[in-house]
Amino acid sequence: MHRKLIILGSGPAGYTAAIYAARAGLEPLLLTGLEPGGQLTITTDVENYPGFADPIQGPWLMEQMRDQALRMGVEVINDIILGAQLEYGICLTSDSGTHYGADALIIATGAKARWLGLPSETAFQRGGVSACATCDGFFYRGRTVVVVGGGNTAVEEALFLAGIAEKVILIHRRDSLRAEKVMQDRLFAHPKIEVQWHSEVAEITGTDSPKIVTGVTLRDIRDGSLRDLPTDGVFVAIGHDPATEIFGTQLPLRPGGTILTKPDSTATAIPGVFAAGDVADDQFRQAVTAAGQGCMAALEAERYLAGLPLAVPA
Amino acid sequence: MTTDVTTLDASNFDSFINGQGRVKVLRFWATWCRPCIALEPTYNEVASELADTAAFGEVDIDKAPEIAGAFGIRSVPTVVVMKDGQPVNVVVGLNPKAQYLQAVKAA
Repeated sequence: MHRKLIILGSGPAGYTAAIYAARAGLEPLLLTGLEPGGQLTITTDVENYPGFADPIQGPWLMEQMRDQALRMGVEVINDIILGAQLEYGICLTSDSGTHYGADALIIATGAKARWLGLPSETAFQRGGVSACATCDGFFYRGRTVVVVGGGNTAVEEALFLAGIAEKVILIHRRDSLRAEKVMQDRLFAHPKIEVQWHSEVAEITGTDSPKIVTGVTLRDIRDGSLRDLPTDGVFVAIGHDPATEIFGTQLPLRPGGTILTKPDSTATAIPGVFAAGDVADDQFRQAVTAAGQGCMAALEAERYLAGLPLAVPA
Repeated sequence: MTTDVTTLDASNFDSFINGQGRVKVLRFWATWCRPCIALEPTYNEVASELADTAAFGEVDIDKAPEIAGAFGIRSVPTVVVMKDGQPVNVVVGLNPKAQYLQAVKAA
């Protein structure tokens, strides 16, 4: 099928782009990707998205965005793009076997959880290693878990797990956290949470048959010394990698892996292809900045499709 | 759309596992797990397409924690493919449909 504008991704960037594009009469098609609603669907309280005096739930916020897009007439299809050809006409191939063509494309594919990269991490994926506290916290009632990381995601996961587990140990490489101050204050005040500073996970250990986690080996960043820490679960929250693999080498990336966009614009190196949200943002990575970039992308796609110059002279 | 997936709990699990056919597929899920909900339509499609190959069931881990415990489930969603009563393939997390089709066909 062919559309004027296709939007890849169903997080705040994708849905905001879709809402603006629909209102501009572009009749956009939004392909949700593997995780409809994106990263916010596995979070809990959202307190920093403006417009809501009381905390809201991430999954609820994404349902609202989807419903708003549907009300604007956006066509939403649950499909996963597996291959993309961007030059000489945009052509996408999908998990469902459908081929999609478009005159313009907004890439809002977001970012995927980053793993530690240890062989033991893969080996214990079924038996105590997770990147989703809201999915797997259930299994750790009354147990001890570690959370690896120092950003907002790690702190949120630690606080969520502290409501279930007996003890939560946050493992961080540095001597301070990157998370928002309000989140740090809650973490440090929580009686069930302790922090192991200057530490990284060197190995995940456990039983062989079945493969169940029983501990981690920590390496002290300062002197390289190793120590064992018993735990029942390992939650990895060390950041996210932009989801760009389907584009191969077609689009220039920044050193951190985000899609390179023109200054003050969502335009990529390929005319008619725009990028918004975490896939293109190595600075802010917030729901509200993703939504803002989605809006920019839709406005720029509208100008592109009308044959107008993208940048409005100041 | 009629579903080809049997909802399983302690009352019907054994009869499902011992029922007709060599290959049984189980989807472990929970109502509060968003990736589980995202997987549901994909799983139902796989069940429809491979209805002649295998029997498909789903286990809500809140309603049947003893089944999840017996399978050593520590992460949801998890799909377990069983052949002749033994688990042969396990797919953890939310993945593209092709991966589930392959896991069932390989059994």
